[in-house]
Amino acid sequence: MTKTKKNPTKTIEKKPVQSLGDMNSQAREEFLRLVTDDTTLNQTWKGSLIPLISEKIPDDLTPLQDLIDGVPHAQAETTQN
Amino acid sequence: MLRLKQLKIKNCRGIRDGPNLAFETGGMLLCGDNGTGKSSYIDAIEKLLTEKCSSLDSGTQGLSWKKHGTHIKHKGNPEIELIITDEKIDYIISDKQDPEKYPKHVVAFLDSARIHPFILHRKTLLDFVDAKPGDRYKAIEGFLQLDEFKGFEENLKELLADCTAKYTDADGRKDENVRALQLRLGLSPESPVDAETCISKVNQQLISLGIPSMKSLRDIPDRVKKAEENLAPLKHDENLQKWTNSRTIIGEVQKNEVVDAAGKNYSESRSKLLTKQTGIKGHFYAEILEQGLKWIQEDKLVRCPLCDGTIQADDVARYVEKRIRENNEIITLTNDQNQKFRTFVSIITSNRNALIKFKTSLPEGLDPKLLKKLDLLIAAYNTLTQTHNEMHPPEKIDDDLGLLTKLNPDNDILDLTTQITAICSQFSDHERYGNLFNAKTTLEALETHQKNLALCACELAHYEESRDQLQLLVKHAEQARKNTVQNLMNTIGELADTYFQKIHPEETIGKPQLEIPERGTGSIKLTSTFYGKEDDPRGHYSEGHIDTLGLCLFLAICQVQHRQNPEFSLLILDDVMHSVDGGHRLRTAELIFTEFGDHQIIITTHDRMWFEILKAVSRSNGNAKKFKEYYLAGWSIEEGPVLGDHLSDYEWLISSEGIKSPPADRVMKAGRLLEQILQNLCDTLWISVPFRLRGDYTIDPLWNSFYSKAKKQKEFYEKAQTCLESIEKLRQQRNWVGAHWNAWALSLTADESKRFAQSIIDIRKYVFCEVCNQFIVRIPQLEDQWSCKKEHLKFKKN
Repeated sequence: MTKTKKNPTKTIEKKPVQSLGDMNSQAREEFLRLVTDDTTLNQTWKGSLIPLISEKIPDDLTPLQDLIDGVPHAQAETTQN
Repeated sequence: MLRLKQLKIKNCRGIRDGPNLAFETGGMLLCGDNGTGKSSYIDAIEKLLTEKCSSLDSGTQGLSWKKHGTHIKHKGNPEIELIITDEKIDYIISDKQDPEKYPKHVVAFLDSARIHPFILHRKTLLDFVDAKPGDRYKAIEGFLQLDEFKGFEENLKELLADCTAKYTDADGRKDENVRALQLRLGLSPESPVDAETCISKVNQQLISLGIPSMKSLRDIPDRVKKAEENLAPLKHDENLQKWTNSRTIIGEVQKNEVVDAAGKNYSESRSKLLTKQTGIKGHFYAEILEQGLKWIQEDKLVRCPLCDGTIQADDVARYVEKRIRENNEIITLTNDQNQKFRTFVSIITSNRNALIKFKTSLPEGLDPKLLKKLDLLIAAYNTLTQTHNEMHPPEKIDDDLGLLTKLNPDNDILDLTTQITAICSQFSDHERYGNLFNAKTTLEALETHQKNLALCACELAHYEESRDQLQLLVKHAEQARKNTVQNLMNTIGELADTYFQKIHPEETIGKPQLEIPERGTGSIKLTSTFYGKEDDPRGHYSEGHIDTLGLCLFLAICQVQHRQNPEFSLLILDDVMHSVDGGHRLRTAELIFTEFGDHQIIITTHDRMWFEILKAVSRSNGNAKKFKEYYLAGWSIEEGPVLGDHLSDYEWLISSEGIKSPPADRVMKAGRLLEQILQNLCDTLWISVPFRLRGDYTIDPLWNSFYSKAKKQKEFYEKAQTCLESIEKLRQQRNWVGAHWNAWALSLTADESKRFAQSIIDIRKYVFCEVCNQFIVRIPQLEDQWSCKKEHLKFKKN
């Protein structure tokens, strides 16, 4: 017999809040849903963000910082140099 | 799990020296007339567990625990000790104990008590219903526990701020490169620096030197090479190269009139902004005003959702328009000031750097006096750039410009240039050499600055896109938080409705809805249904319905927080049932003891009948936990509360004490028991009673209605006829001793009072089922049969 495991990022259900303890987790799941459904967000940003937030609330947003810092042709000289 | 075990109390509020109270596993029920000290006990518990006393520390002017917490005849502090237990060890909670010495589970219990609402007072019953929407949010904000997600939101906002700062930085560098190119090519400050303009300007230089003109920027390396080829035969003296280089560098220093004009532009712009800002009071929130006005107009709002104040839409529109106009002016002035500040700083920094570079490039042989002037100029620019790395008042900017002008920098630069030109003129071919060298450095500068401008354009596009993405993420995070709180509100609303329907079955009202409006995150709107219409419950509900709605919302909030933290299970209701009638009270009691069966429950009341209902329901079969029961018989300033007999009237009447008691006492208690029985029966049997304000019914109308109905209920009347007729005959005794004490009471015999009491004890056996713990009810589906839930008592109509 084979077992199938659902991809947690693909099945987002709106659950009623049963207690206050899981509110952070509820907010994270709701954020994940809004981000996934937003077609105006570009794929590069989604690709970096979704893995970050699919399991827990991240305290390190380095991948997003890298996206900001990843200017095309950044190796070129600037007047400051 | 920890629970309260005992409260020891001295000199606190209305209490002098006890009596102390004990709490059973189920809790404690305390009855006493108004002013007998019930709330003093609750205040003491609240103060110890939450470090505040809501009846004194709620912000009412002049009231405080410090001032009013102590008994009026006592000068020291109140002495309160609350003993809590985990059934193995007892822990003393008092203000003398060091909280750090408590074990972890006691600390957690006390922490929960501080965060979670668990006490409802009569005067706070309607706090949530009556509160302004903003205050409603505050009431639950403490236990929303979204800190971790809020931290994530803050991190996203920091990224957005970082991205915006990088955009501004790139924009500033773009401006610097534009200005540097304009200066190098001798273009005016308004001139564009696109490739075509720059090439045209450089070509004039190249053609005059016999070097082919350029068609595109890609030609630059080739023309640099050609300039070098032309220079090669002229490089017969190293010093000529050095002096020419120095002269080129000093040519990069912008004239003082340029510096002065940039400084004055900045100073004037800053002055305008500051003057405008001084004339505008308070903070300005453009988005809130614009959105707020839109909502007021679209929703035709007449009351403010935040403060509940009246809204005059036209006045608001005029005010918002004025503030938005003012704000737009401020934004324009701020942008102008920032732009001019950046230009000024860029020019003085560029001049300082050029002067330093010039000094290091100089060969030996320059007049020492000129060198000294150069040092003074460099020092002046150093001071200027250090001072103006942040914004200063316009007067300071003007003063510093004046000091620079006094040095007469243009003269110094001219002297230096003249002397270098004189030195160069001693060399043959110096003029052609100088022109070729200048053309070469101009070509190199053009290549560098254009490359930088391309990079800046790239960065600006990248940061702009990143900023857009981050703005969306920040918006989604805020929406996610809002939706989550709304989900919680829905849960609380649904739970409150479940409770409300248990108290008010088959009444077409309820469905409280708590809504976080789209217009703000910090407020909650409360609506409820009344015969299909959704509205503010205060507009349609009776006093009793609003009271039970307030209670149900509080219970729902307690229940939801209990699910989060099952280890803290304490519920205190301080005299909250006031305007609710008999049947609703019974269902309220059943609701509390059923839904909060895993809690320790403390209830105080001034209402003896509600006390009896609570006692009966708390002792019913389904509840295994025990409750301590107290009755406060009186209060004096010297002694404080006085404990009395907590037995119910029925328990007292059948006790040996009741049998031996004086006739008047017996009749009084029997009469009160009859009143309680009749109040319940009129409700459960649907018997119409002439209307009395606030449900304040006396025995006579209740009895007349019931007796008339009972005679028509054939089976019931046949069985209960004897005691019914006896009550009808003897009930006047109640008026003699109870409501209207008079001389007739003195002639009451023991035999008469015993017969009256026995009649009521007997009728109770026909109408109250001890097994189901309920009065008989009318069942229309069974041809109006009167029976208890499981038909232990059953009377058919015919």
